[in-house]
Amino acid sequence: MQNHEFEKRMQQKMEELKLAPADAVWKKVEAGLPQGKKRRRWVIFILLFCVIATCSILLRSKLNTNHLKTSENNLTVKENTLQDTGAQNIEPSKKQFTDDNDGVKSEQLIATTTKINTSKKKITVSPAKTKIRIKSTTSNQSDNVSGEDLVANNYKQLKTAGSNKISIKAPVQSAKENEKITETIVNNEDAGEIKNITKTDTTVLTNDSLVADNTETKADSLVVLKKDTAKTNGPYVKKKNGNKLKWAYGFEFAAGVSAVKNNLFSNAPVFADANAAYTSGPPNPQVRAAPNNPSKGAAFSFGVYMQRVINEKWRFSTGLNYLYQNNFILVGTKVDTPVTVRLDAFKDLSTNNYYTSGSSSTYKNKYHLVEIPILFQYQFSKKSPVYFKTGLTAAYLLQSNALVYNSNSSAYITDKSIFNRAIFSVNIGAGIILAKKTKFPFSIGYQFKYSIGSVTKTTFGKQHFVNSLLYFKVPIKK
Amino acid sequence: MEQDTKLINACLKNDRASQKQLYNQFAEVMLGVCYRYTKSLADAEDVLQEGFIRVFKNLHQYRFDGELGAWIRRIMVTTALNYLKRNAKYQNDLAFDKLEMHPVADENPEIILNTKELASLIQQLPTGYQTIFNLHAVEGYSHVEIGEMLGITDGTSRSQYSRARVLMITWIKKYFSDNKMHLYAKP
Repeated sequence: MQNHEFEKRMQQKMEELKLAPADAVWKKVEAGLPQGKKRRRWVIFILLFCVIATCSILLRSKLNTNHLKTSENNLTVKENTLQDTGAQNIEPSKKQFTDDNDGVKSEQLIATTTKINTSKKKITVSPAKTKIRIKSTTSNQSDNVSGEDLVANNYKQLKTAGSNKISIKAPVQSAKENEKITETIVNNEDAGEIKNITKTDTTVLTNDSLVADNTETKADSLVVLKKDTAKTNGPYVKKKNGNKLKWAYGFEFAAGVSAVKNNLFSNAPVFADANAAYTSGPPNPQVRAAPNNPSKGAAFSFGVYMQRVINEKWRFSTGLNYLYQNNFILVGTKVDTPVTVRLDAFKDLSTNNYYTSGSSSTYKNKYHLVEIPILFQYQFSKKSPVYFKTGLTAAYLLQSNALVYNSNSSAYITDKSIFNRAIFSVNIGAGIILAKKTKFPFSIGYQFKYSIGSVTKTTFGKQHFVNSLLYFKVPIKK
Repeated sequence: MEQDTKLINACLKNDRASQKQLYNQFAEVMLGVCYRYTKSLADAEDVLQEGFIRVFKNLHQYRFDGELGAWIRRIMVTTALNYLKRNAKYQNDLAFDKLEMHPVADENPEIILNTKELASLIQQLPTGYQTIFNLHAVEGYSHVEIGEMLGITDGTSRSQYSRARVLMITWIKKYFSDNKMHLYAKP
């Protein structure tokens, strides 16, 4: 019978064994530790949210501002500044106060001047807050047409006498409410008609800077005054924006099917094992089964886009999207033991756990990405609702739990170090614009994406994302 | 124990100072463990480094149902075994031959060597013997457990251990008689 005295003595002795490690060891340990991984992930999500929120707010703000726009060509601001007496000093014959249905006080002012505009313009008015007044200076009579009526009559042609020069000018500010009042000046050269009038510029003037041109009084005029209920407490601001809007903004959503492939044009397996062999006969424990390959999964994305017209047929678009995609793989059992896997002669990988080969369970590979698409869109003609698009997408892989197969250990493992973070994809697709004549002409379409580089590093074989997505784009501002 | 809990929670929050504190608390003892399984201090430090990375990565799995030191020690032993398996320097020497049961040396000599000398003796054993000797004589694993850990039968483990034990006792005796050993002698 073996006496355990020797072992006891040995244990006691060895318990006392202490050796001081070199300082470099801790530095190496420190280098191998994650650096606030979870926090960084949250920071990325928060930043992404902030970017999207900021874009939305800016776009919304831009949208509101656009309501105040008038044509720079149509606006005359000259020296005759109204004194800081408020709206009360405006001659009664040129000013009226009315109450709208919603209780918002609107002002109507008959402009005393006009400015000729040679272009045909289209005007969009808010029924509740806008009043239009047409006055023939020759007959010294005026007609009031409310914005509500104008819209209700679907931009019914308005006939005016004379030369039909239509102007709107002289914004004023309510002295009582200290509110901005913006007016739009439009001209119409066609006899008796208002058509195709668009707002192209904005001028916000206040009492201090309010000017009126009394020197060019001409023919008939159409006055549209709009009251903006936004409060202005600071000094009056004069703001001009003479350029046409060139960027369209909106939200984009997409959903579809996702997969990973070794190569787009071949059916080669993603995971190969040189030591594996397929057996058709009885099970042979000496023969290692070939690894399973991931099957298709789902994908969805959402984000904001910006689109700019290059010319009549081409448009450029970009944006910022969050993309989630997954796929499935059959694996064996999970082993929660830390293990170091030899990748090649020079490289090892330590993981906290691994999955054995087999097909007893299904594992979901998940990928979280942010992406910036750089796309060009082609339409056969300006009126055509159908378009085609192509371009590149630069994506950053935020996180993934995807498994890869290691043939040295016959196990599926995952680690953040196995992925390439920067992923570039080729995009191709087509879409159709629906409800084109409405305020929000959304579009739906199909896009195909294929990642050019491998998602995983070369040691783990090649994996390319292949995504087939249906998308929905809705503009905030067209 | 309460201090350990606080320290572990701080480490789980990836607090670097706490991680350093935990490392300082156990590094010397654990380097001793690693040293017994390897052939040099440099290799032992490699194992220690790898082991502590695993400790911190797997700290969330620690259930507070045993001593933290014992839990870390188990990780170090596992890390050392993995290191031996994948390191070419040790692989050839790690082959476990399947000899018949070797008669157990029923001797229990007094061990007057200091710990470092004793650890050096253990290091002189062939890697296979060294591993099993460490697992059984020092760590206290049973031969069945050792068999599962190394992928060998418990009989092979017993046989290897017996031979390692004989060698160790012989060397310890010789150390006293000669007061000097030819440490690189192989059986």
